[in-house]
Amino acid sequence: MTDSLDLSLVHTFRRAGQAFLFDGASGALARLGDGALADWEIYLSRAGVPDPPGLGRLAAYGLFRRPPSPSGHLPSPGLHSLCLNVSHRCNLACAYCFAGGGGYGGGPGLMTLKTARLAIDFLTANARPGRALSVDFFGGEPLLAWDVIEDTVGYAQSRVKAAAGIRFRFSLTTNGTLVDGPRAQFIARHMSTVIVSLDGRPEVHDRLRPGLGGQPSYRSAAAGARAVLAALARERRSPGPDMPSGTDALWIRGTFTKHNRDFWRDVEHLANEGFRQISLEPVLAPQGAPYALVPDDLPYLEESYAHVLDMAAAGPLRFFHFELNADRPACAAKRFGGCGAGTGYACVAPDGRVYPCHQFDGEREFAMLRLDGSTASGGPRFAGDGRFAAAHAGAKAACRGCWAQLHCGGGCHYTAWRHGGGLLDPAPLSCDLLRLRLEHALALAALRAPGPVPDRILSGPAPPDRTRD
Amino acid sequence: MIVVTESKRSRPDREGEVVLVIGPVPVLSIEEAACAECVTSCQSACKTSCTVGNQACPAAGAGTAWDRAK
Repeated sequence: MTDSLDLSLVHTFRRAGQAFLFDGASGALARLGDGALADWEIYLSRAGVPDPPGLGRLAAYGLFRRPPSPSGHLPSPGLHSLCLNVSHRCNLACAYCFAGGGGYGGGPGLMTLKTARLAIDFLTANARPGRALSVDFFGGEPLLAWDVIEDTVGYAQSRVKAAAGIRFRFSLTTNGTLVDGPRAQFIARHMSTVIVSLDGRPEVHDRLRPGLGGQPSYRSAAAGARAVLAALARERRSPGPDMPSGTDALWIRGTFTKHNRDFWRDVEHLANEGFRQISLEPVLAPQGAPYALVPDDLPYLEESYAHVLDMAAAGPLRFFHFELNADRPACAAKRFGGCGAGTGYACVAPDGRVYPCHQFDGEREFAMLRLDGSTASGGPRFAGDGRFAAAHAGAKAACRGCWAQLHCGGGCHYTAWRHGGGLLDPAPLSCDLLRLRLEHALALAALRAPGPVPDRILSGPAPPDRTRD
Repeated sequence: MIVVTESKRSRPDREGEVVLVIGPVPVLSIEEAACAECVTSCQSACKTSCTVGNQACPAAGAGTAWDRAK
């Protein structure tokens, strides 16, 4: 039977006290009994052994089929998402900042109102008709350019009125320290997603996220996040594809480093502070930095992810990397191409230069064009960067045979370029971390899934009713 | 949806049992679908380690292969 099946992306693993089989080509997940796991592990590692339990039934359901294998450039989605780095200044001095303190290797500039409006014109002029458009305010600390944010939202909305079929989805990433009541209200009213940076426990946060004078920042950052949360709760928004309802718009985003490999305690702290949606992510750091993660840290991080899995399974916590949308995955182009940097997504720096994404801001070899007064009259046009269109999971040697490739899309371009071997050569540690958290995410999806019904039991004796205690 | 609770997690599956818990979703083609709605990009909670798995397709709400297979 194996001859007609593609088992190249099949992966077996244990998480949350259970054994699983994941088919990376179809995204399907099966829970295995211990005996079935043993049979499957033998079957996947040797030739000439009997078929393992459930093989035929799983294949009949659509597992083990060969996924599409793109080559060359992926088709361009057209520009639809633009990050406005409205501020190259920051009022914090985070030790691990990939943006070099907000300046991205250059001077501490702020975007002008004119450049921000040119960016909106550029996005609308290059988007396909009728497409939903996404605008993210980023920095540095974007609230240092608050007038630009307010003006840009108003200008974009005026464009909506002027051109039928255009819709904007705004988002904002802030360190939270400059949020006051009126700003929180504006954010709640206009931002589809707002991300406030908090690393977790106060001592963890303050260690690497001090103010410019070295002073702690946790208290003011947390107060800002709470102000946004309260404003979102007050603001009764109509939920829709472009606007999550109420407090679902807020995500707390933090960074974990070698100093807090027990980052599950930071997730726990943030959850206890009342934040329901949390994303803690591994630091991007040069080798040798005292806070950099190394392969030896993986067992500790694995332990933290397991604790977070327990929390997410037990309560209302949403941990970003564990939220899979398994039933509604993106299309194949997205699943192979990842974030869309340089193809459908780009970033505008304060000086009007356009880069493939926010992290490439300031890397002049990647500057794509510069906005000028001709934007509104049809130029310059966005052609994308072929290097990014070609750097997809189907083109990377490290992705071939990797069971996680269609949940990863080949990984972050900037991480590969900065910390790996180039755009086509991902950093091995980032791949290890992706697979580690994806295993936990799949296990959580299984725990959240409806209890098994007889039709889903593909082998073994009839089970007891496990849908209720 | 019935959530599997903590108490059930420690209950082992039967020895040879195979239970499909997430159904297959076909990877149809390389072409994008529902481009007008899709804002799938790095514009999400994660700004530095985005995973495609987090990104839902607005056009794929119903009628997955799993639904059809049931």
